[in-house]
Amino acid sequence: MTRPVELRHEAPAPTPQPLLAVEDLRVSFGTDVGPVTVVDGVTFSIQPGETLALVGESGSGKSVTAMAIIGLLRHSNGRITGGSVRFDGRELTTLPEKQLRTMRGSSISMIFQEPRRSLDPAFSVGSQIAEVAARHLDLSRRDARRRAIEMLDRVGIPAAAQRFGDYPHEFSGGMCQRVMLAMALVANPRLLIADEPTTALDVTVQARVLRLLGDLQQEMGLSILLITHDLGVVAETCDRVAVMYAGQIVEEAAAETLLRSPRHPYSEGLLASLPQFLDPGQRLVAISGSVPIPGSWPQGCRFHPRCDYAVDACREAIPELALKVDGHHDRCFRADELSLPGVS
Amino acid sequence: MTAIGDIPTKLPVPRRPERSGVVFRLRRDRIAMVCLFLLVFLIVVALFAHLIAPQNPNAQALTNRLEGPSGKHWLGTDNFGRDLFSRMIVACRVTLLAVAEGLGIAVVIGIPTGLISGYLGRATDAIASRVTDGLMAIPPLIFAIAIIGMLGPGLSKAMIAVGVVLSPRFFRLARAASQSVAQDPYIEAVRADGCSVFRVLWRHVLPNSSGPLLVQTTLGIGEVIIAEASLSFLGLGVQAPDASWGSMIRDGFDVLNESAWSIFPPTIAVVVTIAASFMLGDGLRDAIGRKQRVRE
Amino acid sequence: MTALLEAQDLVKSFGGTGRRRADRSPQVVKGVSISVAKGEILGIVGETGAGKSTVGRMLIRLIEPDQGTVRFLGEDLASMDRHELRRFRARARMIFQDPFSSLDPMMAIGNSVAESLLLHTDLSSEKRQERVEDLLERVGLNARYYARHPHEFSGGQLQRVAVARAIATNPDLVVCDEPVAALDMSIRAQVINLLLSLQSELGMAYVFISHDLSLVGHIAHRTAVMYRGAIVEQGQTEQVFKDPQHPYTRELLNSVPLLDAQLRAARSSSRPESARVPAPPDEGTGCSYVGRCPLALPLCTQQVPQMRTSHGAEVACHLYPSNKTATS
Repeated sequence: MTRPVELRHEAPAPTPQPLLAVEDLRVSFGTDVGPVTVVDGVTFSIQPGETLALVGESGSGKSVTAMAIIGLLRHSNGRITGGSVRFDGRELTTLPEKQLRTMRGSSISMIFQEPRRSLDPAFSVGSQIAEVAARHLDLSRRDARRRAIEMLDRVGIPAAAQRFGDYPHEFSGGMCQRVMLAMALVANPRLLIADEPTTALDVTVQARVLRLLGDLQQEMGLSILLITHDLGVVAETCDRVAVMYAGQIVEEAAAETLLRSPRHPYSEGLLASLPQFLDPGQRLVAISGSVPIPGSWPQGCRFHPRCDYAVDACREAIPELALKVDGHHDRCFRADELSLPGVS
Repeated sequence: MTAIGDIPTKLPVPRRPERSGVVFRLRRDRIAMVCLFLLVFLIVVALFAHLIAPQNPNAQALTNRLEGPSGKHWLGTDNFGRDLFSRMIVACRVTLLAVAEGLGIAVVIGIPTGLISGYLGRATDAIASRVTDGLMAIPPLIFAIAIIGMLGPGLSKAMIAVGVVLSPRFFRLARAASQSVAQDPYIEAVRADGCSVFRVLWRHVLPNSSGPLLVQTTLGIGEVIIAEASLSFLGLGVQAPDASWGSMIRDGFDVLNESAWSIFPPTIAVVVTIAASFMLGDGLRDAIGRKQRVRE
Repeated sequence: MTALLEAQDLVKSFGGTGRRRADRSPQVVKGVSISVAKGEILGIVGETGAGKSTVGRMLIRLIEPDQGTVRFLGEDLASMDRHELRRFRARARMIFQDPFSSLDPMMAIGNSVAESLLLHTDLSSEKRQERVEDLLERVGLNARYYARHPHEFSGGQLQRVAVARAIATNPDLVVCDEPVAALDMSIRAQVINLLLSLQSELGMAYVFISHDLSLVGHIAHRTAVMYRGAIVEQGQTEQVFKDPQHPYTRELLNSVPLLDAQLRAARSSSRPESARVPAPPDEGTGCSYVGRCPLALPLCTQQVPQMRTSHGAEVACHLYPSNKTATS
């Protein structure tokens, strides 16, 4: 089953039909104090074969966005209250659960931050992968088993055939994440949503898993929505990046571009607060204040209380996310006049 | 089947400035509040029993035995013509005192030993747990009877027995709570501060274990009443002419063939009090349980 | 110069009460020797299973080492009586990783900080309150927050409280165990800056334990790299990061994702050669890194390498000549 392989480094020219198109997505959660908006008008798209990073801190709404896309909010008290999510032209927000379930695993897959908690401890890893294969690829038990072993090997698990019958607790964190990848990719989905897949892993393990992800993407022509807070991971693996703050996207651009010349003060702040290698003794540049929680977002631009460049206009209205420069969107009134420093 | 991992079902909600979450939540639980008021009411009655009782609870009038409720005797009279209403009030005091005694002993024996055992672990815990297991293996009523056999009948002694019998439950609970709290990082932090073992237990472990212990104590009220009623019913608890609700049930039971009325008031009182204590315990458990801070 | 704190040959294993060889649990810390000078920031880096948290706790005697000694200003901690140990605890403090659970949830944060003063000073309760309010302001919190409880604060604020508690007794040393790992990115820099400014103000030494290499590289004077219970390399931070001697240190540094495109291109060794799972570490004789080491020699499977000097750093690796005589 070959797919047209697209090399990662050749950013594909925008085709008329993006694989995933999220438009003005809004999500609210029901709480003791009434409904609280967590995702407030998020818009972005992913082309086939492309890796888009969704970057933000806790409370930004990035994970909830991912959950909304794949329709997993039904298990919580969150609801999509507006906007659309189109996958390959198909509207997902109105799709009945039964059809969504068919899509999950075969068209869109997701992996999570804590791999051990995402695997059922009562079943062997092999059988869990085989179950996905059997279901979506309509395989016999024997064929599903064979495919599962194939997949385990492909994700770099040594002695895959022997380890088919092992249980999740017998694997380390990094290996569990590989098993998750095997499960997520066994049915050849076109889009993989990875929610902080390497945050819980050691740095050397992370490097290998990211490398694996890159290899698999090239082999399978996969699109990836990578949710992370680690800008280093973004730099190494992603084509484009969207930065989220307080439920909105505040900047979106090609990864290289955003890192070199960010246009939104929040992005600049994030970059400046990272300890650069071997620049000892200097104080880190910190963003003052703290991330506002959903439900108590400030009036006007949500970042303005913490922004070094805020002016009166910033208090009064929320800037629109607009395409200012080639392929580079930002949500800041002053983006054009500011010239923000990025990474060297 | 896609794996369902960490679905964020919780949300960082803006924090309301609640001073004490537990009290706040308890206040909203109507049933629990009703039960609380009821118990407080009974305590007040018990405190002022001798002042409130309209007639002498021990005054016998054999010509007026086993009368139903009337203007003179609001709840009628018992087998010896004594005013049931007054007896109920005084018995309330006796019963609640007994509860305080029994529960008090159980708590005093069980909780400190449980907390220490759970925190220190190893040899201390091994010994204490085995002793407790041994205690729990003995059928409670028989054990109580045995202790009374040693000490002689009488309400106080019966309550000592009840307290001893009930203490293993508090021990276990305190031990479990202590073990769990002992794992919490802030315990390590205060130890790094230089806290002595005693201070750690008193100022840190106990307050953080108080939730389940409070619930168990409330439930314990009901259990001790049942125990006292049973023992008094058997004649091993309160001795005549004093009355507890349990002994009044016994009295009523003895004359069932003559009159079905006199058994009702004490029975209803016991049932209502037990129900109130259990429901309050439930409400407390809910109020404390939801105190978990919601965070991402 | 007498070291402030000096640890020699610390060994620790957990659990495992069995007599048989197979039941005995593996050593979490296998012979670690480390020292901190006055006013110095010593970084300890390593991944999961390196044993760095255990070492940190042994340094302030929160955990008893199975073997080895720890000396504070020359005095052996094991030989201290209760009172001396108490005084030591005022001078050597700790900040923990998870701000949400390192403070007693039932206690007002002011009281948590005041407890340190209660335990180690004779101040009256008014004076204690005054000092706590002072400390809260110093770490960037409003003194009004004294009576509030931990659940009312964010992670960054709680970690500031933890800092206040740590410096309340004017310590000589603070062990920081992953102090910012649980915090949001934009808050981390705030807390790090606070730690740095307090350090220069009060002249404290830090033992800074972290898995975040770039952070340690930025703030530590000296760094020790740990792998599976042993220190594989230690030396001046700049030295260790610019010219790593041990193959594991190199692997570690190469694994850190870089933001700068030019640096990425210039990276000497390639990123992981393979995406495959590396062989499990060898728990037998010899160097525990041997399974993953691209430069392993036959000697590496036979003998545990001792510390030796190379390029100004101390390395535990057979690739470099030992500076001991052949009779060792």
